[in-house]
Amino acid sequence: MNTEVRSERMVVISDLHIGNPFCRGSEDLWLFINQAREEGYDLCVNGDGFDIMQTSLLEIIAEIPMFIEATQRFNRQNNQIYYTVGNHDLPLEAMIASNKGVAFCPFMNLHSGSKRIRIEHGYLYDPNFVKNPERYERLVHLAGHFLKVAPNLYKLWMKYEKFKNRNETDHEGIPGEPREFFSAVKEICDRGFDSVIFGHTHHPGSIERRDFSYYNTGSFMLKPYYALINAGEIKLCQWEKTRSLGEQNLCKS
Amino acid sequence: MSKIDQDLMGGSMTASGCKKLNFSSGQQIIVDGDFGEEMFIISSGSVEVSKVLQGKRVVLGHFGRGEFFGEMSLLEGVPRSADVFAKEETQLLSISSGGLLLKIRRDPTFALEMLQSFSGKLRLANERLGREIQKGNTSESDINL
Repeated sequence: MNTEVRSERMVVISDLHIGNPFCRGSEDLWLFINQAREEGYDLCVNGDGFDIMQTSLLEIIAEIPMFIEATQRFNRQNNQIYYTVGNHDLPLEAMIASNKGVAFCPFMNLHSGSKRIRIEHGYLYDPNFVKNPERYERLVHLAGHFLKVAPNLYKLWMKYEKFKNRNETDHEGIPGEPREFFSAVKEICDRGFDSVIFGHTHHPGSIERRDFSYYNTGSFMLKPYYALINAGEIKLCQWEKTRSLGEQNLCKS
Repeated sequence: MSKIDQDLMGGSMTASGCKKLNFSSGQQIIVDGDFGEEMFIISSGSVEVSKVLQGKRVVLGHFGRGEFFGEMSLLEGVPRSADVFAKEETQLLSISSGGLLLKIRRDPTFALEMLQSFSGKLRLANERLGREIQKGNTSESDINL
């Protein structure tokens, strides 16, 4: 298990939830991954790439050949795909790690330029997960059944989370996500990290402070946001097919 | 009262009960043989670990940003086994035994990083012992636990 990684050029995406009905349209995902490879970036899938919590292997399996092909192409070009584990793909750990082209890790301490960057899915800081993991898992399973009937319900839930935050005057984090995520960012940066990149919450955004910065890449399948790392500098961008990855529009939370 | 005791009383506190301490270049952080029940994570800067052996100061190693030291005293309650000096302006996070549990609760990947570090140190120690046995400086029966 290697968690210390060096890369000067990397793109980070998260929460692809391949197989889940609320994340349809994987053609764009493979286009993005192909573009990252062509432009010479390493790629990090920061958790919940596949979704076994709310789907079944049958629903995931159709995309697996594309994933294997993408990793093989990356390897042929001496670029690397990293995969950090999330809560929706934890049971698939052995399957993903058996793909020799993928560097699989629970989290990543990235050294880029002179910067130390923590890349981690972030579910360990979700208060709902931490307080009662079994109840959380049951609710996620249950929600999966509703999503099969009405995938757009998920967008309503996202709006509700943002609305809930609006009344919290002391909320320091990215709108929509529980405050525990930003507290975790501060804890991690206190021990010598310049930046933290999380996923999990599906609320993309960034917070830049004098001493540290925090980025959440959201869910690529809901909004195609990614973090671009170039010699330690991080930008949160929104992908457009016609532009190179380094020249995309910046995302604002 | 030592510098570190003063700092531990006055340093700023983080949410998980750790204290932030600042040291200038050359300042001593840990004194060999002292009792101390905290470990340190380097937030910024770097430190040098050394020990006086047969009247001569020997440098044992260096630690940089993100690395930690002083954990043996915290985990085993034994006296400090070396001197530690700041090599430059250095900020440390000081963690007490109670604070370590809270730190791990709030920042669980730190526990994994500690285990990785211990595993690496044990592997190096085993490799060195293996070399000493090959050279004939020690025997297998001497090192069996």
